Amino acid sequence: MIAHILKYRLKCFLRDRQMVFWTLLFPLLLATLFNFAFANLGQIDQYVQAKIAVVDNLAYQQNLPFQSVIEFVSGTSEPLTTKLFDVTFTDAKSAQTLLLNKSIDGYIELNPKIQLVVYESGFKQTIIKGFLDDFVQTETVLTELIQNNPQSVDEDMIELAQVRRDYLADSSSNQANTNPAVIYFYSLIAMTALYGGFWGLRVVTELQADLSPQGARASIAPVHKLKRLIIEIVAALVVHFAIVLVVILYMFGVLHISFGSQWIYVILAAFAGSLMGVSFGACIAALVKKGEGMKIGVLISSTMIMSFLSGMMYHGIKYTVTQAIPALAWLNPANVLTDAFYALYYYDTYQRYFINLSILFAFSLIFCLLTYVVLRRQKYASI
Amino acid sequence: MQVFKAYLQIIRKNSGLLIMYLGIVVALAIMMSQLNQPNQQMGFVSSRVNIALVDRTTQSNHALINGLHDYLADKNTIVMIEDDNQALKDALFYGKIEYALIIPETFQNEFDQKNSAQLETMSNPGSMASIYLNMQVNKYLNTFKFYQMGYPNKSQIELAHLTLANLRLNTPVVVQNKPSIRGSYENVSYYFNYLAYALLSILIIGISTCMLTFNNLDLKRRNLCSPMTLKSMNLQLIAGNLVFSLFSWFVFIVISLLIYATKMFSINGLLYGLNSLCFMFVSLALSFLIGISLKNRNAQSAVSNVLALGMSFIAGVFVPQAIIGQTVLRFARLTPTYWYVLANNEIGTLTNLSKANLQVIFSAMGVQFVFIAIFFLVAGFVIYRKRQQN
Repeated sequence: MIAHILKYRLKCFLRDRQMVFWTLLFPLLLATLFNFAFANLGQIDQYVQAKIAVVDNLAYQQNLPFQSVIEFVSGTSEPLTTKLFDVTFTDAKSAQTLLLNKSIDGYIELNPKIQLVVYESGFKQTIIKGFLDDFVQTETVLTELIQNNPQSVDEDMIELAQVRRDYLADSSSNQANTNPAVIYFYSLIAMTALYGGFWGLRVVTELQADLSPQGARASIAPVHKLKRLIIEIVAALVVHFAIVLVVILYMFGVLHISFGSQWIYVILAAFAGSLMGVSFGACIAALVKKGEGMKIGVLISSTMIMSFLSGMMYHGIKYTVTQAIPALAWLNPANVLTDAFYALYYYDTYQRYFINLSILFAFSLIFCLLTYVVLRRQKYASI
Repeated sequence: MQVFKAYLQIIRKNSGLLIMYLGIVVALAIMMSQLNQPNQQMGFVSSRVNIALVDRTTQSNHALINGLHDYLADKNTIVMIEDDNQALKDALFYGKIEYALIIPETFQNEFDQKNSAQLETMSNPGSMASIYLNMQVNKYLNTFKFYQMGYPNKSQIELAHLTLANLRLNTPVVVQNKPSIRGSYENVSYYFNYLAYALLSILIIGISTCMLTFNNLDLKRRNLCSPMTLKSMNLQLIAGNLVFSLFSWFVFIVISLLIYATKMFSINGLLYGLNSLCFMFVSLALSFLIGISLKNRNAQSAVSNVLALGMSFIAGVFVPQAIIGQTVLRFARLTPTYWYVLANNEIGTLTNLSKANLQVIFSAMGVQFVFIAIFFLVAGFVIYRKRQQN
């Protein structure tokens, strides 16, 4: 009996081409489009060596200290230090040509004061300027100290002037996973999970005697309703869990989206998401009393709003909502699921992931209970 | 006029969708113009970074740390984030801050004695912000150290003053880019780019709904045996499509006038209007093709979503063309949306009406007309085949 219901329910689901499109192909399509659009998002603020030119004139030849710092940052002396700039030495005229062709970010000319020439303001230009400021400032300090307090200029200070002390230690762990673009894909998975609601909605619609002829027929059969409900929800869960896994595998295998290293946890989150989605749809079908069009309308619009708030259209939204109205973030299952994936990707600890997962299971439980409370003991003498 | 009236009635029944797409494009345009305030300052402008400063030292009034704070605040924007590892990391990930500097409790003592004191930082490794800010912090501390070594008798406050004064020294910068009005049209470009998505969605849904209704086999047979000539019926349908398309386009133009007011009353504004009119015809042709190809209503929203979203994404409607990969863009040239967006972006940066500048814009419009011709040709072929089958 159980196998029979399960088998035919699965057949019904898989033959519904329209639903398979919306729950499987549509997310795959969106993921592909996101990949086109956001592929370069993570690389935008990476520092790529600024290209500069130095006008190799008499003033530069005479300024030995400046020559040595230029050598230092362009790495000609020490190949191991991170090269800050890619330096070309040239004359004033060709430096100007290079600048107008945009083959360099700026050029430095000494006459004999140091001057920077750029085409437009920008981050790289700011870094070049910061470097030049640094040189002028240090030069001034040392000259000032030599004039005012010559005996203080000892070996220690010369050493400090030559090798600047680095006071900083980066403590942000998990260095590799910092690409905010993943949020688009995680919230897309959340949307896919919520689209599982279509299956749940259909299960309830075809179980209730007042909603569909199938429901009326099914209600005559001498099968306990709870039993039937559970079997059909399981069927929906099987189909939808597979769909969510396919979407995740596609993102990972084809689009090369990172999910962290803990695959068991990723799969567990996918399961929690599918369960939440299916029960969400069932709950809507039970609670919304108007026709099927209305139920689907409520499902799609609530899914879209929740996905939007979890960052599917713009990843900053998720953070803004969490900061401004934390309750809204916690009560949004799409956001909780997105956050679970985010926690796996970005954090080394699993505390946040498990909190998210517990909330997801709590949501599923609430949705299931609501559905059951509404559906139980409904009897119709005549329809 | 019965057919034409029926057409408008069908549209009116679906007006909810039209208003929804209208809302989307207007909301997006307003949001984007808030996010991207164009930079119109002249001369050199140093980039500023959003940073968080966490001071864990217990004593207040450290001249050393206060000086650092003042120095960083002068060159960057300091964002208040609570002293919590997760909060800082989240803010970093979502770009609320690009750099966090944490001053440990024992910093002052360690710094005064000669052994190297360590400050903790958080940033996306290798980012411009991290390189720039590391440079600033180290520079401040090194300069302070110079003064401390040079004037062992001076107080911390005096040393901080000296340091800050020294760090105010500047390298002169020559900026060669002439100040222009470039950028002031950027927001308008965003609006017209989103319009591509909205207009395409609206026209596909509206036109294909009507075509499906009139192509319903029973209805069509009934209509064909009415005394109205086929020619008149088709002309009315064409008029319906045209009026609906023009009206949708007109609504978008009116809204653009309301939002951007004076900017639209210019050559650029005129070109935006012209370009979007071109794209309206592209959408009309494509919707017509879809309308006659579709067999039933089930596939309608799938097709409209796939086409409108797909063409918008790869052609740079939602994300600037500049950050889309080259391979994708090469493929996107096969869509009319690409040329529409290209022309919009050109109009946005247009400062003088030189022949070369205008040529880019008008040839992009020309390519759109090629697409219109292709869509109508294919549509004609489909109609021909269908007639043969019947």
